[in-house]
Amino acid sequence: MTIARILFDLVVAGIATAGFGLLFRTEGKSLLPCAVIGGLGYIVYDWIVLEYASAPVAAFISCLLVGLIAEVAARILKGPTIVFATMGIIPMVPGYGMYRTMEAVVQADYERATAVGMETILVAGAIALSLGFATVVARRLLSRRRVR
Amino acid sequence: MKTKLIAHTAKLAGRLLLENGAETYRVEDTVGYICSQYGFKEVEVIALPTGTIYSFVDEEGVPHSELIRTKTRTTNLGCVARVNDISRGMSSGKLTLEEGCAQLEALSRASAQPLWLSLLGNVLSAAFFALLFGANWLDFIVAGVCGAMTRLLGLLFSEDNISSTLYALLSGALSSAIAMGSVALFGAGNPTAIITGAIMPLLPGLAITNAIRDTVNGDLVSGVARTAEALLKAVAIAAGVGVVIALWR
Repeated sequence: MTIARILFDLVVAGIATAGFGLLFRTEGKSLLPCAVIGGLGYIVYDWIVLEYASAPVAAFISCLLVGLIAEVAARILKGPTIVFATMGIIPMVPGYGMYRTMEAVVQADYERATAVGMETILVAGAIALSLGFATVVARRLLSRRRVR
Repeated sequence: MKTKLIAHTAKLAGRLLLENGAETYRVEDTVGYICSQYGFKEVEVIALPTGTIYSFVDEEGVPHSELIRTKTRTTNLGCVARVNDISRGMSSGKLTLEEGCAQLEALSRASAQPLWLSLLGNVLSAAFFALLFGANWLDFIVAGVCGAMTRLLGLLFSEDNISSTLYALLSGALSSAIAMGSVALFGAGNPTAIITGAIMPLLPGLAITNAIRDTVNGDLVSGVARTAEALLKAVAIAAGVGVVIALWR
């Protein structure tokens, strides 16, 4: 993975995430941290997809990272975790897979639709699972004021 | 009188959190905390995506219960963060009950987001996601236009559930129609990148995040309900996109 690609990912995914931040009415002060978390998450995702493994694995690892950073950021910046976690995973949400599934369905190519659709569902599941995992790990490692 | 004020404050905080996209445990924690901090006993809260019920015994030993029904669910993470700050302030003693209540009241009357800001957000995320998925510069601009058009389309719909599903369907269709049209008319390169970028702001990212956090927290009913909400929306968008591609052929 080249430096140029890393920078491209960071800037483009970061701005896209910040756009989401505006849409979700995030407070101005958390907009930049959210953008950075989103950009970093996407770099890791892109790197793993390029060099090592399939999209669901990449989504799992990158979102796990995002989830953990979000938990830490929430404690440092004293905001709800959900703000940082939601923004951070946005670049990994499988819009692309969803589109390709639909495209295959429309072309009546059900074999490809099933394959791509399965991958899309797996990516969504991986994001979900890793976020849950990050929450549990963070609860264990970082003490909370209000323990449930 | 004080009982009324405490119950009112708790209700206000719960309503603001639920309507603006907070997780279930945050709603339950906050409502329960406000109630028990000011002397209510046996506080029990159950929060669901469609409403919250809480009961408590006041200082004279009289049991009460209150119900908060939530009909609209929007996303306003800034509001969630503000309510969180206020409830932190109240629990640390920095804010009195009256001040906290007044601040929550002010928050619930806060004006809607200016249109240009949400337009900007939609355009930015649609255009830059398209770029991320391999768009060229013309595609980038077309995706931005798609983002703006879907946001403007949203003005026609209110925020209740039926119309938000219809909106998801129509906005998916509109995005892919603009993308296909621009490819045919101006020779924009890559309809896949444009459509993917344009539907990214519509996808239920927050709903799915919340669904999982709820499930992990043991709020199973909310988790399942929110998963259903997210799925419905995703399927509606995909169907909208699919119909237009199918008709275009």
